[in-house]
Amino acid sequence: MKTLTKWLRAYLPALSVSDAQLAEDLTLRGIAVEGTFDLGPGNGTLFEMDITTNRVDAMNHYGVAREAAAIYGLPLPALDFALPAAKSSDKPYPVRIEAEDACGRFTARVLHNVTIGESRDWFPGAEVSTYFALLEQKKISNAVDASNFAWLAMGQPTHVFDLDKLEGGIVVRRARKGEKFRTLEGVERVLDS
Amino acid sequence: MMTQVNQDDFDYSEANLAKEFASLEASARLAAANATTPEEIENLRLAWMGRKQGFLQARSSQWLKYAPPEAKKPLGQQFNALKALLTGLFDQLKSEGSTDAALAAEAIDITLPGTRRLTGAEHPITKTLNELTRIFAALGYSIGVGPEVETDFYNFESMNFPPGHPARDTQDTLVVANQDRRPLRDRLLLRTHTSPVQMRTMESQPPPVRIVIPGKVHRNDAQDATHSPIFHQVEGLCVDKNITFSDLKGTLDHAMKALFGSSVKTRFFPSFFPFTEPSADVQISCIFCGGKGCRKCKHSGWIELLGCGMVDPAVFAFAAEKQPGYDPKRISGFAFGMGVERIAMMKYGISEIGSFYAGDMRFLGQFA
Repeated sequence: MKTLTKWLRAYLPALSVSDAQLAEDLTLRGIAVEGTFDLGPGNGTLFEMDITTNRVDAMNHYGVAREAAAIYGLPLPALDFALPAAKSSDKPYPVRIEAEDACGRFTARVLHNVTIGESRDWFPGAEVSTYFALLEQKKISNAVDASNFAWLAMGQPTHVFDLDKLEGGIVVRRARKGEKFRTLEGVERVLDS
Repeated sequence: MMTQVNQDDFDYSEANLAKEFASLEASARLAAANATTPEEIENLRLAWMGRKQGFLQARSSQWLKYAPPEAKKPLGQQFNALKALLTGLFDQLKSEGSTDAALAAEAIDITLPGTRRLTGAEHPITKTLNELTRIFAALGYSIGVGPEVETDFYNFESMNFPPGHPARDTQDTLVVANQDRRPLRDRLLLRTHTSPVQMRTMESQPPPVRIVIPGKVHRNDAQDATHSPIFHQVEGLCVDKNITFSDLKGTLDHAMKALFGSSVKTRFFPSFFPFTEPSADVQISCIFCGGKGCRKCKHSGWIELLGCGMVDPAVFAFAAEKQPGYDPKRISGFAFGMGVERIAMMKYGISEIGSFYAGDMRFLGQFA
């Protein structure tokens, strides 16, 4: 996993140790930094991390920042989700879970009046262009980048759908045997059940 | 070799003929004595006895041609007698000659040095495996083995990899086909580590346990310079009363010093294995540069070599289903595991893991 110290420090403004010291201290707490790469002035360091499967919570930037906050006894500011409160709708978009054993909960939110375009740096600490460039993460569009940003920040996988192109609602089910599925990369895959 | 025959003055007297025939016979015997190989004997026979160009035939025609009539009959008899004698002589030579040749072909020259047979040698992997097991045998460990085709229960579940746990994904597993109808824990797979033998051993005997487990393991990995889909591990398990992490450190530090020399240092880093808690990665000071930092240790001075930890109580709980003695309140233990190829590669300076499996005599001969 690739982690930017620049992004970690955005979560932990009080962090005063050097990047090298941070790498060593994290490694000795079991959050192993396997390699460090200097990204140049002002860009901090890229950590190549090997995080064991008991620490899924630390497989993202906020999780590593949480670990660092615990190591140095620093306050960790909560993430600020500056979204307007959701309004309930007369006609909620239908989501049906058929594979209840595999999906216990499905969370979604409808956003109207979104203009798809290039991502901007939304707010301080969310420098999408800089972070993505340093991580060599491709920028696609503001909607897709937001989904990827949430994943890199919190480890939460999400997906954005274009409501205009969806028909009949979202169904969570197992594939039918031999069902064909075209992925985002354009690869057609044959699924088993 | 012969007296020149002259038609005018040849003496056909009985005495002279006797002398001439005796001389012919002596010449033939002399020539025969010098002929040794089968080819020489055959050439000699043809020269003397040949029907058209044979010397005997020519001489007999010549003598008979000018012989007085009364001398022809005894002369013919004498020629026939000589012919019979020489035929016998050449036949005898021939048979003796072929026996000699056969004997010569079979002859053993007892003064020659013996034909050297290649000495068999231990394969470097076997050698390293034996070396490792010997180190632990000297500490009182016995040797345990188990099957390479394992059930999901022994390979994963009883080692505290619950169904669906992401740790399962870290061991790319080769599974036996067509097992979908069996319960997950009974499904067969190729063991991904030697750890299932820990559980098999604990199920078969009450504590204390000190066991070292050498064996072959399988992963669905592509082969490259340092990875092979089939490789070897040595696993260790020690369970008793009052076993602590310092016992683990002491044991492994001793083992690494026994393996790489007494100047080698060890250090322990936190890690994670589902079947141990806490878990650690063990690094040894670089055996190439002594810890100063070199290309082999990526300038860190340390090389990561094995994994270990204190046996997780969840593992003891599985063992206690068959052997109630494995009560985590009363006993504790440690386990460790290491890759044999990696150790052999370091010990013998081998850069390609594939060299172990290629069967190249030029490679293997170096370990004789």
